[in-house]
Amino acid sequence: MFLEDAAVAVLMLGVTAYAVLGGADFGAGFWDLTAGGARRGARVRGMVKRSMGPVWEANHVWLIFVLVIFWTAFPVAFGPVMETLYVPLFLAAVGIIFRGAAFALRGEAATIEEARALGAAFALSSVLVPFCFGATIGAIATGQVPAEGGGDAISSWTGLVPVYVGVLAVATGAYIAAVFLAADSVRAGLPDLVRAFRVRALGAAVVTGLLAIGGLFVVRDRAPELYDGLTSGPGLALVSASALAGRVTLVLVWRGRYGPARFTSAAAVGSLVVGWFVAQRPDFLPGELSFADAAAGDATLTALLVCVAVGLLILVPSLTVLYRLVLQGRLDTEFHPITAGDRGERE
Amino acid sequence: VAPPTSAGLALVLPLRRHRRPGVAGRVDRGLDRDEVGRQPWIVYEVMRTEEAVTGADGVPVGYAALALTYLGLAIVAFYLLRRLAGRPPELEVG
Repeated sequence: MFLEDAAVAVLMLGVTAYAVLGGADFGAGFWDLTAGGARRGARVRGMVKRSMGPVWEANHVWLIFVLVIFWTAFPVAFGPVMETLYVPLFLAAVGIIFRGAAFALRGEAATIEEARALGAAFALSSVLVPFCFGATIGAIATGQVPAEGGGDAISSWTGLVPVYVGVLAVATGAYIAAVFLAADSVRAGLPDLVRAFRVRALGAAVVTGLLAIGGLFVVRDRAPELYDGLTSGPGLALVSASALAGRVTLVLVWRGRYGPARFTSAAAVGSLVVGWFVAQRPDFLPGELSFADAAAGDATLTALLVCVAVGLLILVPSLTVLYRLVLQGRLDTEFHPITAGDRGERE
Repeated sequence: VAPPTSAGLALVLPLRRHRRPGVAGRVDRGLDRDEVGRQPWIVYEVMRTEEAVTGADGVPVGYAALALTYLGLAIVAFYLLRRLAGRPPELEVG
């Protein structure tokens, strides 16, 4: 029992970290997508690229972490989840490939057409990927995955709740990203961009907050058991904590205190993810399969937990150093707006 | 052996029929022994390949899409590298 609980905790840690850090990364792409025409959006896009540059690869460490924990610790659930939800998961994988390639190649664009194509590939996949992951979570949470596998490849994740969670995943990412980008703009000493991202952060906070509250009603209708979990005991505590953190963020952003707002916005999203885990327990696949039944044998879990502990000994200090250097501004590069190829801009 | 498995193997095996000489050939034969020699087991004497194979029927579409994705990326990478090679190196100032 202890081993399974520890494995659940590790999986939850990974999903939460990815929802916050990966989410912020995708959210930055969302603001790139919605920045407007080539000239109008140039400064916002430049800031997105500058902010993401040092951290965007590290942020996706958590996806690998989650996948490895998932198939190693809960192989009995991994099979049916993959077999049923392979369409959104495959789309997410292809989106990640395109996104990374486009982001890395962006500086090499020689013409405005190339820059547009690469920019569009980056920005569109930044929305597609979190939507697909959100829809996957929504499908699992609403019991669309039968324990014996073979759920419907399409209708399992295109119902109201999965689509809602997909949209929520895009929104939470955009929200965190706007707060982070506002803080980064302060550090860069670019008041026009601080204003731009402040407005976006406030707007995204309101939209995400309304989505989260409205979503509770959708969930009450479509997934009553999940709703009960979210509105009683520890689930309710976490949902309330999320709402509180969201409000505090709103006040902090309003007052221009973006540094502390980074942490409260992360807490708002993180406690929502933890709340979902808590609400669903003890089931991995609601009504079908418990975490305990989905778990691998004790020997596997023990080996995995030892490996995770050793891995975290390396990962946590590395990420701490990386994020500290970023927050101190020591990895900052010069700011360049992005219009056509930014190579042209630089010369 | 269940249809998806044999179809999958049938897809891969004809490619390996010509025997290459030297080290590459030995690597080939080693792979053949591993992958073909242990059939019908995916985990020897624990789980059969037909029990392990996914029931998802969109897998061939997914593989085709993935192959196209990487083909496209290879073309872009080739094109960009050619262009970079044709340009004199830039001097980083500052």
